[in-house]
Amino acid sequence: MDRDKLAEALFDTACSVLEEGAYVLVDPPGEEIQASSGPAIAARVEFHGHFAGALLMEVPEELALEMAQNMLNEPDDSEGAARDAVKELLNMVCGSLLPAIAGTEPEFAIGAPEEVGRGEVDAAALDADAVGAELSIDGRGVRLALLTKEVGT
Amino acid sequence: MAFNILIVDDSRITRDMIAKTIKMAGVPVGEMFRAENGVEALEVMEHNWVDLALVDLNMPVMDGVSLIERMSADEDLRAVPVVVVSTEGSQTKIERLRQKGVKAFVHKPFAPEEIRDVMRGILGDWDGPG
Repeated sequence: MDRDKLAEALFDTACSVLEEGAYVLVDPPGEEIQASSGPAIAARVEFHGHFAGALLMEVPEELALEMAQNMLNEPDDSEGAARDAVKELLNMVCGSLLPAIAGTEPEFAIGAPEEVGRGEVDAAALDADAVGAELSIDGRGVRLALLTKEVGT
Repeated sequence: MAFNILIVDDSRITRDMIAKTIKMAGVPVGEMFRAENGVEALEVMEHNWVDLALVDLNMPVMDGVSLIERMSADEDLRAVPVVVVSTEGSQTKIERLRQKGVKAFVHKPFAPEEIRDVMRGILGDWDGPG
């Protein structure tokens, strides 16, 4: 799969998962994303199997809290819930993305998502093998980076 | 009749979501047990009767596949219906799990009614909101 198609798959899958899993609405493409220097929660998950790689996601902390509350359908402003929500949503994006790229026959082992420092998504996106995507949710940016090794075209 | 339900997932938010879904579906719950991995799940089942287990696959310590294999090899535990709730996308792996006795598979992210409908199919209808 070429890089453009990978980027499209990443964007579409992330939109679908965040809308269905976190009950948020992704803004139409082209909407302006506010520059954010506020706190954010980032996580990374590694996978291997048919091919190997990693997926990273960064979510503004305020948005992560909203997602957690949506998922739980109750107010829970604990940082723990927000962090758990980001890691679990990343897990879901990865689980949906891999068959979207490789089909439903190949098997993958997806590791446990881990929280990483803010800026790791940026760093990952600089990798020559990386593909990135950015979604806007109420003007707030959710950023993803996919690192892969030897994806078939 | 009330059912004892076991939720096995390393994500607290997912355990809470599933528990909430079960409650909203009107399932008559006796006990709701939660475990973070397969080892904890086996400990719960050693001391408590469980009518249905909802099991994630990717978990530390003991993953869902290992738990399912341990349950199918146990004379008592093999009777406990298992529903896998997972991000797993490989039909090859899903079919293998069905052959190990898994009753149903729910893909994350799931709609609440998916959990409800799967539980109805296994536990039978109950007098609750449909």
